[in-house]
Amino acid sequence: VSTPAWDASADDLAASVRRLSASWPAGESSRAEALTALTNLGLFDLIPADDFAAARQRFAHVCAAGRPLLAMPGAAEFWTCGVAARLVLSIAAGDSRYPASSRSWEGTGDPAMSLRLPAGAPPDAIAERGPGPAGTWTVTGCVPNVFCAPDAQHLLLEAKVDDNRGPALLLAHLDSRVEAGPPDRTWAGDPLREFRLDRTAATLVASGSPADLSALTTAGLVTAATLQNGQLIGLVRRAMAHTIQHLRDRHQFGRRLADLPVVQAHLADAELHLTVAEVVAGSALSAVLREPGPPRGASLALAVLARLSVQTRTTQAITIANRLTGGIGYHDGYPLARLTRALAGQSRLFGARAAFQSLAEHLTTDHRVVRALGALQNPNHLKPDRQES
Amino acid sequence: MHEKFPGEDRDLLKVAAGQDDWLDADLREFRATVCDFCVQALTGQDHRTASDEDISGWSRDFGREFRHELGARGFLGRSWPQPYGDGLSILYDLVLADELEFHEAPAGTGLDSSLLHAPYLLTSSGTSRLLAELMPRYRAGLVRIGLGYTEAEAGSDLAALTTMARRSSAGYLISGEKVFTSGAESATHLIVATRDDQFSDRERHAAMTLFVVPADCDGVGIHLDRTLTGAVHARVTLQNVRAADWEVLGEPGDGWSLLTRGIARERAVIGNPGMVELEASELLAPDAATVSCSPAVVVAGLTRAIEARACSYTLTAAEEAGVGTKRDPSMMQVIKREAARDLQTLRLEHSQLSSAGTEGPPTFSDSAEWHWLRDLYYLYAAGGLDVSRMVIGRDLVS
Repeated sequence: VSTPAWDASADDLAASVRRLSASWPAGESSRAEALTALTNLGLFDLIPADDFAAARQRFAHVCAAGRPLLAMPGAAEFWTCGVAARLVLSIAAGDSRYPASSRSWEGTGDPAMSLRLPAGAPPDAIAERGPGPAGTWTVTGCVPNVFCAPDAQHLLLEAKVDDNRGPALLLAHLDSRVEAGPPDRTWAGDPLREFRLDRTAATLVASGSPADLSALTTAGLVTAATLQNGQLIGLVRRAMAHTIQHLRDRHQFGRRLADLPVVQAHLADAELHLTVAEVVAGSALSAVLREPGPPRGASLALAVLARLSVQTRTTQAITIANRLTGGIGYHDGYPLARLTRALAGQSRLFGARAAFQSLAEHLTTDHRVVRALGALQNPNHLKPDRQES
Repeated sequence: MHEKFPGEDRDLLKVAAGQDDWLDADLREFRATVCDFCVQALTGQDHRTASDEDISGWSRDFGREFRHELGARGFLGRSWPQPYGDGLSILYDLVLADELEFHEAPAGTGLDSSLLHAPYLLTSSGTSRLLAELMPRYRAGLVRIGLGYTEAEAGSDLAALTTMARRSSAGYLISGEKVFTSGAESATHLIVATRDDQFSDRERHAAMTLFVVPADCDGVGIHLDRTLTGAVHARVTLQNVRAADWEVLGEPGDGWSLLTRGIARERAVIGNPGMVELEASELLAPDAATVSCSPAVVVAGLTRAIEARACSYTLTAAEEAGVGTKRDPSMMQVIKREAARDLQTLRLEHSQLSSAGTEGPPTFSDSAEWHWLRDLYYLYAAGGLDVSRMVIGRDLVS
């Protein structure tokens, strides 16, 4: 598999998104318009539902080159609905274990999404076969905490199958039998909705053993998280820029804050955290892109460890940025406050840190995976594996 | 209102995602060759003691033989400038340092400035006579250079050094004392940083001159101080040591700029992940003395190892690609050493009690304790982590 190529057209697109993001006015009122603007740039068309590899490759260019791109309203919906949901559908479409119905899915809208990493709670909704021809399902129940694009027409959700055959992944049409609860808000300002479904028609995307379903959703969500790492880094890079400017502008004890050695040492710590996050995110991106299909084994484990690292390091870096800027980071009128809120929400889009920690521990109990992680870049440095020793 | 922010001009995410490109087939082969050699040369050797020897615990005689073998096999000088070396990528030196450190080769930890930093200082600023005399033997592994920079009251503030160089009719006379001169006990030559009395009217940073002097010349004394592990570390006294004009590096008075440029290069290669990989492999493939790790410890150890490894190679690749920054070498050093320290601490916490807490230094059979004590040294060597943080911080706000 060749190394990812960074082509000019992807960079051009990333530059367009970056310009749009940088010039977008802050504020909740522009959320719908922001999503429309992103749609008009063609971002939602980057991931066709039937070609996971092409989707991932193409989108990775934008995420890497335009990493500050989505520090704007609507980012959460974009990632969960526009990227993660389509990646999951793309994996199912390319895997013969899943029903043909998922391969024929045509994304006429941007599906809202309710999926969770294996560490999450079991689903509440119940799926029943029929009525009608084979392959027809109906779903009843409550689906909470859904990031939902304003014009979403489908809901991708997990449900328990009524005959105890384990969970299933379904794509439900958001019609009159779906009641959308009042919009809730994360404290980062992102809208969450609860959906109540009353015998809503749904298409089966995947069913089978819990392990199969878990592998499908984990691969999709971890891939999306790997692509989104760049956004988290971009948010904190921007926070660092504001912080450095503040340190240059403000004076204390007759000197610029930037000239105080203790301030420089703290700033160095923030930069170290951010550099580590950036490099590890790139390494994971490379590993995920090199897989011919969805990430698995060492690539999946590397992506999960990288996500953990990015979540931890970006949080530490922005904490230092807030410490260095004092109350400015606490007031909505300043960019640092908005960036801090955005990071807190968006770093948990695909699972909190605890969920990734749990997943990482699960994946690395396999000694072959640990050995393969060591061999990814340095095959010479392998000692006898844990099981053998 | 497009904002400019740090990192926009150099996309480390992109560099990291393409990093395998930087380790091409030749570099991979070089790594495998060095690794095979280390395994062959170091396995089962009995030249290792925990006392009175160099910082890596090998006997000095074996260290000399080993270095000679590195030269004979063509491992040295791959990235030194032509005609003294092959003029290849700095990644060759990084790979070499990585392998030597991972295998705990004699003085082959990333600290061996003699291999990793001094050649660049010499080739960029040595006189033609000095280079003609020194470099062919250097590449053959017959020269080892100790860096006489640090003094008792001039470490993190190196410009405060007091070793004096006085102009004489036949060149210079150097007097003073250097401490923490790594490897001086087996050095053939010393690079000595001095305050040049010709420039006593100048600001202190503009009055330093660097010399290369043979370690066995009259007036040079090498004294050994014992460290926590029982190994020794050198202190060098200089009493009216004679140096000729052709032994001056660069222009007289220009020592500070040479020295800081050279240290950046040293830190870059010191940032190799060998020590981290060694600790990670010991932690994750425990021997009988180590308690099996919990899943959380495995995840913590793996994450730290992956972070350090990716940063070492990516930041060096960024330098090769022309998108490196002045702060990168210092960042590599801090990231690597803090990761190694975290892994050593994890490993020690998962070791059965052996010699820890008993009298006398630990032995190599107490591997975790030995590493933990030895690597206290790495927390202050080559400028120390606090100095490195200042370099990073100043570069960010400048």
